[in-house]
Amino acid sequence: MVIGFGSLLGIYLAERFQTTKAKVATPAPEPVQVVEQKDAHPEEVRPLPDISSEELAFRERALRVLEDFPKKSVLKEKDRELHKPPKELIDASGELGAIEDLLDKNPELTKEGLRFYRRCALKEDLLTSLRALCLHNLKTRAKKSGFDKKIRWSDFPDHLHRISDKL
Amino acid sequence: MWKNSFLLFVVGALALIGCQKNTTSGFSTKVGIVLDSTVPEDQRNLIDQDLYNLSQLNLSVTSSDLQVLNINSFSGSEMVSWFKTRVSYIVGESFDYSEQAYIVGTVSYRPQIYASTLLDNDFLAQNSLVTIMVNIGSALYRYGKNNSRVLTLDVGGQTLYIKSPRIGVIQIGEGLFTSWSVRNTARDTLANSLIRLSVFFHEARHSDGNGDNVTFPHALCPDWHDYSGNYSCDNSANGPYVVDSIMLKNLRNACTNCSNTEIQTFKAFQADAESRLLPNSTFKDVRPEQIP
Repeated sequence: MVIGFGSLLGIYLAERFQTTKAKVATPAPEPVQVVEQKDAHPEEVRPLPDISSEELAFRERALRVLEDFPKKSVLKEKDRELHKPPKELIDASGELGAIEDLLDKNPELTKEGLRFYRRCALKEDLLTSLRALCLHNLKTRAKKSGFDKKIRWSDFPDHLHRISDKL
Repeated sequence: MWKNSFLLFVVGALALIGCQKNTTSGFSTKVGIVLDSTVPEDQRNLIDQDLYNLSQLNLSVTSSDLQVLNINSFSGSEMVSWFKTRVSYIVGESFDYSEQAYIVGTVSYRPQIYASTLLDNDFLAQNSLVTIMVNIGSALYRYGKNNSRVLTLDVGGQTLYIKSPRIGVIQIGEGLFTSWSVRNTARDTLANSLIRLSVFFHEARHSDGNGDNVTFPHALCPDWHDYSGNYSCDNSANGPYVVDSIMLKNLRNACTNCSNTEIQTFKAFQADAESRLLPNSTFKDVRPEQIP
């Protein structure tokens, strides 16, 4: 009986020691520096674990939206009425409106919003009008949130600045 | 008892609807703009509403904006007057100008003011693809001028001699009210009404100008441009696209309860208009020419 109890105690202590030892032996995970796009700003490089689920959801949505935004090539399609804005621009305005709603309601998404607008304004194959609107939104949001000094405004072409400043 | 109350409620509601309609119904006629019988009833009501909204404006705008439009203030009365000077008739999509226009004589237009920047046939062909809005009065004037002909147009029960770009006949199409609306909104919202007004003002600018710049024709977009190869740009700093831009910017301010989507649509349209303004654009003489 005494021997049996001593054995059990021994097994328990041995297992506990091994568990503790194993824990000490495993190295702590290093934060991963993630650069999602080659044109990302240094200040945009953030450790992946810092991204909240809301930010991640916004980022995924933003990527989809950017992918779907109208390209200049739509204007080359046959039988288009080119004296007035393309209908795709009206659709894109709807998306931008939804994004503005999200950013208004969730201030914690501001950085993601700025990142989205920056990418949109730099995407050369998009409609110029849309890029200019993205730049305008970037300027407005950056100023409001105090990030305007951290953005390299010279990255954007002059003609986009001219249009965006008119809005 | 309940039945009577319900009836009273229905009668009251109908009266209210009736009153609401009366405030704007026939407003275009009231300000002196003829809506042709080819304009469908629903579009007629919306145009009345649009012009009524215009008449109610009283916005503070920059002096440079006022300068482009040659007005002293952005007040409803002045804006209606500006518009009325340039647009007298609005016709519907089914209006066939080729059947209503007649060549009634030849005339020697002053050769030095003959225009050559845009072929009229191209202009008419491009505009016939989808009708959102076309200033057919000014297009027919250009046609006559380029071919030394005097034309008449039967519209609104009258025969008009087309002797000036200010003849002011605008054709509208269903596209103005459907594809031209903010997504997922009704046609009669304030935002959609104000956006339509910007299109009206764009077309109204085509009723101005003289010489090579008569009707303020659009310029050829250069190779680097989104609209390259098309006559969809302007080289006038006071041309139709600048008028468009000014209207969209200022009318947006009148839309105080607009949603983010509506605001973004205003801005997207304005960005499109601004993108069409070519570098080194200059102010052009807006005074309309006229043949005797």
